[in-house]
Amino acid sequence: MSRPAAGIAATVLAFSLPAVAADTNVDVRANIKGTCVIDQVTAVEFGDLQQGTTAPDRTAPGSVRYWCTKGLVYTVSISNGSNASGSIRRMKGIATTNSTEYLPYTLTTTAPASSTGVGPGALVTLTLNGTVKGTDYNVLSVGQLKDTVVVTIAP
Amino acid sequence: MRARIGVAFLALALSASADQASMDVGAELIGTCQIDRVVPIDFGDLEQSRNSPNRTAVGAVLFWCSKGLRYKIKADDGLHSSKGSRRMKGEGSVNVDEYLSYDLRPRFSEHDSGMGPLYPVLFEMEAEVRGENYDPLSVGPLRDTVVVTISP
Repeated sequence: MSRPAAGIAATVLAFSLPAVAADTNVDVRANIKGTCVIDQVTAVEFGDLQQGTTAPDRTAPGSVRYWCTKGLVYTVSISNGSNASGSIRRMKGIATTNSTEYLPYTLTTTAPASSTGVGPGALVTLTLNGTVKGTDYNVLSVGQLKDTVVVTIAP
Repeated sequence: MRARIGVAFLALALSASADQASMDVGAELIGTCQIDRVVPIDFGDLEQSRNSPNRTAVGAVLFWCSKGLRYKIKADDGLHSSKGSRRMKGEGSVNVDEYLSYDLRPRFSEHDSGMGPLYPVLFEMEAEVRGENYDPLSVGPLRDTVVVTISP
């Protein structure tokens, strides 16, 4: 009598043995990299400077269009250019007639030195205004002058 | 020698009846699935532009199941899903309220039979984020956690 009972018990035990599942956490990660990208540059171009007995000061606008990642704090810096004398920016003559001459200029901007990005969908335009004095270019030789300023937008 | 005599005597005293029984010897291998290793799905740095490409990343679960055991693999919707879309959540100070949705798809079948512990299986999952979704996001890390279950 006891054998069938044992048999039933064994059968029940066999069916109750669980199949063991396994689970685990899988992380999904990403990082939005803080980026500043300059999209467009418009040079500061004074064009032809015409000398005269009372030559006026001349201004010329330039701009740098850029964007920075939303939420990214960045700074804007403008170098003194390739031909500065101390803190005075200068264009240098690039023609044979004026290669030893310089024309000082100032560069101003109303943009804050630092700000926070709003993402690639919202371009920011940094306007730069260059000014040369009539008294400075009135004494120069004929020919082209040039300088290169580095604008850095840095996180 | 003494022990043998004693046994013989006892047998005679019990009306000399014999009996026999069959005794089963049984065992059952429990169907088991076990995870050995997990490779997270890491997109790394997502670099924005005005027209960023979609990006993919692959993660994997290395596991085995008992030989002959039919199993199926299931990945849940993660911690931050919305309307059936899995999403990573910002975990930086700047992007804590932002989400980045992603698609997750297996590279192989989610149903199969185990081959035993000596033959682990690498189950790879490919995730994809769209450029148009991460371009407007703020700087910082994002994360989600998906539970992968391998069940018989």
